[in-house]
Amino acid sequence: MRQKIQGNDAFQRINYLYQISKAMASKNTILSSYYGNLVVNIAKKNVLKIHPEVKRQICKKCRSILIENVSTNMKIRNHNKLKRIEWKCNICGERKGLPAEKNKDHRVWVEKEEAVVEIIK
Amino acid sequence: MEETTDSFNQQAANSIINFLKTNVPKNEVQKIDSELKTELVFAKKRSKQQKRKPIKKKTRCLTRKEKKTLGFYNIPRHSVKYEDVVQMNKIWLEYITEVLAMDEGVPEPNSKNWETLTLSLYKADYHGSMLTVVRSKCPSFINKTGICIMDTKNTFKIVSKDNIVTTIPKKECVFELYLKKFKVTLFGKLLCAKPAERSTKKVKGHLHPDL
Repeated sequence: MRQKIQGNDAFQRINYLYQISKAMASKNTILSSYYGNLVVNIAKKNVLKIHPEVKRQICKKCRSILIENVSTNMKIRNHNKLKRIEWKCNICGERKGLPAEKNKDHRVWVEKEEAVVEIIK
Repeated sequence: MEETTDSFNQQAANSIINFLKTNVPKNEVQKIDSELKTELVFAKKRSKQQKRKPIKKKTRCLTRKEKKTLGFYNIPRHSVKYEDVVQMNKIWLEYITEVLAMDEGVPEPNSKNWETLTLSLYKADYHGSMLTVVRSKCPSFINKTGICIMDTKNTFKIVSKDNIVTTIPKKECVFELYLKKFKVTLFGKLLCAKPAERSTKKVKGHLHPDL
């Protein structure tokens, strides 16, 4: 028997919808953003957190998946003498930025190695 | 009074001040200029206040109008190709085997694990599944097969092999699925819920069968 995890079926569903949305991004933008919207809504309904790596790829405004040269254009910009990565969505034109300094560690706590205690299969 | 209006027409009224001078009683003729000036000051003050007021609001998500202009609500009949959607069906088969734990074997009906299997089927996602309509109140829907691309509260949207998108109401139809060697029948009546809400919604225990 497998171990029970809180909200496992919802996590699986989010994972699947994310994969679909990524597959459809180059073919049909409307469906892609529809699945991205579902990812966010399911996480809201079940009160779960989306993994930051997935969350960064979803557009804040139209919720389509951002893929380089397909649905976004990436730029590195200087903002107050600090470097930032900026993505601009091709569908709605919303910009999304993250700090990206060379010498700094910008990882979130979840992504660090100390955060992983146990891996359940 | 008639005489004054006639004279006013003849002069053709180049300025409003002249008109006021003719109409206002004699005591107040001198005040006209000063009063006009005071009004102008008020107007200036108002315009300054109005300029300060509007604060730019950040729009977090798309409004309904913007969505409509981008074409989020209508999927035209020939817009989706079957070849693009086949890939989705492959991923879906992997997903559903993981959710139902098909590798460990399917439990027999009337055993304890049967209920958990049906519950997980109810909570699963149907985007990308191959559906065929078996029974329906409307005879023209019967035997329609295709891959589901959209799942709303009351309808499924299906792409058939000849690249046509059809919407099928859930409530009146019974669907069939093939998972490897198993055949699953889904009563659309039980699936009537928003796809995001279905995973948290409580399942009704018993429903009366159709006639």
